[in-house]
Amino acid sequence: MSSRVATAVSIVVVIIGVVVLREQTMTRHEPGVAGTATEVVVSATTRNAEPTTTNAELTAALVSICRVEVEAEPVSDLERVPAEDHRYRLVLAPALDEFDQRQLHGCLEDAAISHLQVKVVALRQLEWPES
Amino acid sequence: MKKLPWLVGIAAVIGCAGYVFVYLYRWEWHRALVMGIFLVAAEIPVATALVLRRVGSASHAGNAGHASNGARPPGPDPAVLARIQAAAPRRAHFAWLDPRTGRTNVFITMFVGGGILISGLAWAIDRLASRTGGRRLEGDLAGRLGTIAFPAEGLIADDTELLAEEAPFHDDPGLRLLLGTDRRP
Repeated sequence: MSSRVATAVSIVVVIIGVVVLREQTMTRHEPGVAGTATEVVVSATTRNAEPTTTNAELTAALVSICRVEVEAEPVSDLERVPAEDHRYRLVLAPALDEFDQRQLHGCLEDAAISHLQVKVVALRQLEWPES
Repeated sequence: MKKLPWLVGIAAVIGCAGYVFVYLYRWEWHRALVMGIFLVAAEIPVATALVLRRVGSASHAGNAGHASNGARPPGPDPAVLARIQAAAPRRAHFAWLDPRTGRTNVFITMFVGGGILISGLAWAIDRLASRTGGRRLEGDLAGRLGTIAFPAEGLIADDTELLAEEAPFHDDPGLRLLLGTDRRP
């Protein structure tokens, strides 16, 4: 009798786990809203990089890789944040939905380019009037 | 203390598996791949230890069963062995040579056997050739080299030959060849 109960509980736990995992991992994109944008601010550090490459070059390479994974276009260049060392800012329009934000965040912080580590400092929505 | 390796191994497996899903959730593919490799690396020793433990317990249980049944030493039961031998399938050696099978599923056997036979034949031919062909070849070579060998009497003419040069009626062709009198006008 106890083994049947344990089996039933295990089946229920597995089903709930699969449903929760599906809810957390399945991507459901929403159409972008015009007039909005997403500002991304990253902090980039390099270690043992080639002497001919700069922190800004490596960050620009990583951003160009990750930018194509989301459904938005950059509306500004990757620019250094004033008065902040090794911080860069990029604006993408239209604003990213939840899953695109998560995807961009993960791509930027993943170890995609050697000698470069990027930390996403800010990822927020902005009003961005269309020109 | 013996449970500590098990705890470490299982914790490593659970931790690696959990972080695989965490990194997938965060869209950090490279980290997820690396953690998947760690997961496999942690699974292998745990799975190996589980299998070895199961084999060890089965062996221990078998020995314990023999001990509890009496003083019979562990070994094959003659009755069981006789039944197994009686039920053994009849083996048909060289069945691949039987034309009634109508199938060509013996290529490996033929290749291996044929390779052994051909190798033996090649070895025999090599031994025979090394014992017979060498002397014949050396004799032929010595004969061909004889045409370009130096004359046994040497190339320098002695006084007698130099004096013989003055006698054009001398009919020694070797001497004329050696002294070059044939080519002189």
